[in-house]
Amino acid sequence: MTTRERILGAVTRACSRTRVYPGPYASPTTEPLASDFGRAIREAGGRMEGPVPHGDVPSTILSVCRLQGTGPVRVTPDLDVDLGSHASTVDPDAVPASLDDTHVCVARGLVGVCENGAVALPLESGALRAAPFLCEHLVLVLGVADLVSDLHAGFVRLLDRRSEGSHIWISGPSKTADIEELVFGAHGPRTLTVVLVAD
Amino acid sequence: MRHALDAAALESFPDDASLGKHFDAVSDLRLRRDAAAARVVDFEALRTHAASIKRHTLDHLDSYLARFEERAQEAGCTVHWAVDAEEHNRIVHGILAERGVRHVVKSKSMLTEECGLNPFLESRGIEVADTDLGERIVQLGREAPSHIVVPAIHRSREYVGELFHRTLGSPPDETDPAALSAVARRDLRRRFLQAEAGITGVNFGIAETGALVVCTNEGNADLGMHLPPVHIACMGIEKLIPRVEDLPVFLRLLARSATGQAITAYTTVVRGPRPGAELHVVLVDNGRTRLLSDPEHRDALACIRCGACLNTCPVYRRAGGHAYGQTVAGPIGSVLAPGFREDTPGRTLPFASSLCGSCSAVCPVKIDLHEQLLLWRTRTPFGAARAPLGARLAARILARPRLYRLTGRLARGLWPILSKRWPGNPVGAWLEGRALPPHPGTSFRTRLAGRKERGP
Repeated sequence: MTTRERILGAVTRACSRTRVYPGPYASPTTEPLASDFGRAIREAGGRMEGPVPHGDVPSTILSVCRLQGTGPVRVTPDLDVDLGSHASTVDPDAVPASLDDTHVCVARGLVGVCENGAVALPLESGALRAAPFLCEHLVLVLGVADLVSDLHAGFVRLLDRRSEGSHIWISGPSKTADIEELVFGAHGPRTLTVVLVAD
Repeated sequence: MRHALDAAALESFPDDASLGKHFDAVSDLRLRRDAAAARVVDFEALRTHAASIKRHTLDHLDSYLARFEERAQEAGCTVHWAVDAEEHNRIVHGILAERGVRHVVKSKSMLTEECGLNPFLESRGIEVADTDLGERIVQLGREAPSHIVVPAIHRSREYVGELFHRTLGSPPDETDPAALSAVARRDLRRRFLQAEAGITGVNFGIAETGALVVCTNEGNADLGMHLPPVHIACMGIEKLIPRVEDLPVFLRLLARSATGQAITAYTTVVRGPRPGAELHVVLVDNGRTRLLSDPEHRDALACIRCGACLNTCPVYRRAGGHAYGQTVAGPIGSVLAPGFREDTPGRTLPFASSLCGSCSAVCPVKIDLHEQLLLWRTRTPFGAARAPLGARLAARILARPRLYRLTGRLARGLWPILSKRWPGNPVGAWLEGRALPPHPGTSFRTRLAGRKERGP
């Protein structure tokens, strides 16, 4: 008998099969407000810029980058913002370790959740998964229309936007309180800035 | 059963100041949990719903496990099954050895701690770096974690400064948390980039899609998953939830219950390996099926490892995690240990509780922890056919009124001696941290009889 059969057999014998699935969760619906989203991001140690008119997005991103000092700025391929010669695009097939010197990474968010400030990003190739973690500072670009009120709505919206692939919810800079106090940049980015784009 | 004496002997805290700091730090987490819960208007409804989902899942765990395995394999995962800790360790080692892996990075996983994975791998020539900062601190300090969410909560910045100076080369008098974290960051970044494999735990496994969910604040699990070519995810079989739409119910409860945050900085949902890489899932039993077949205690498997019960427990706050002498401390550790196996040393832990019930009040999945602790007391075998001598003697005395009165007179007579601490005093353990009330004088019966004579 394989271990699999042994474990599943033991589980089958133990299962009581009595309690039923409670059905979908009905969360109280609220308006997705950019101000709530901003507050949640700040409580998690991040910053929000905007809502910013579409035309001002490139200059807003570049001024955020300048605030963090100098160093390579790399953007993900799905970012629909032209930063000209100030940034280079991450090659999806690059060796992830080659991104270790990234100063600022700019990526596009798919959905933003107002109750907790979380922004969903797709997880694609190795280099694109690693980029938001190897950088010193992370900038996420998100449309006001992509905001939802709570995490339940967030998952529904994510399913609408793409198939059920790998993804990540990012709600703040990397942090730890393991040595008595809160410190940012434990392993990943020290800062997170969300640039909210107006409708 | 000498918990009071053992706690002191284990020296969770070298002095009252560090005990006080631990007490305050842990209490603060409970207060943060309350503040976060108060801001969620449907928090109690979430708890009820999450509790219901978990119990349904446990009641149908075989079909959910089969579905999870099928979907995970469709997504490109290799799924392994381990009946116990030893098999889990052999499987993980096998995957690494086959690929010639010598350097591994590992993010927080109480399961791998439970199985003793690190020493197993290290004795076979594989270097494991724990990447969660708290875990790294206890790893470098060669001790066990004392809290499931904040592993080094019992350690001060001065301790970490000295430790990092010795092991990582930080400046000798550096105690600033930000500076110390930066030292660890540099060291671990180098290890992330060089690692040939990454090992993570799993917060939730989604049966519907075969996805794994990993939640961290540091992002260490992500660096460990996305950089090396091999990712090994170790998961207890009870960590499954049925559907994707169930995940937000648990995510909205987990971080709020643990630290009072609305959500962890990173919540990663992984369906299958990334192109060109491998993803192995190791499903582990290690006593879980034993607990599952116990109708009175199986619901403890609903646990999502938030640590809220530890943070609220007066015993945990005072004693610290090491006093429990096992992987998972606190109320949940005290009900899981006797459930996972027959003769665990932790079987007396249900007696090291005041049964205040605070744990049950904060559990996000409504495990009736304090009632399970009481139930374990009635079921705990002490390896003897009869009750302990003290209990039998007490039963005899209480059943015989004259013997009871005689014993009472004897005890009052010896009160001045019994109420002091001295080696061998049978009342000794009770007196650790307590003072007895002053001498009662005469017995209640005598006083009552005297009052009756004198009249109203």
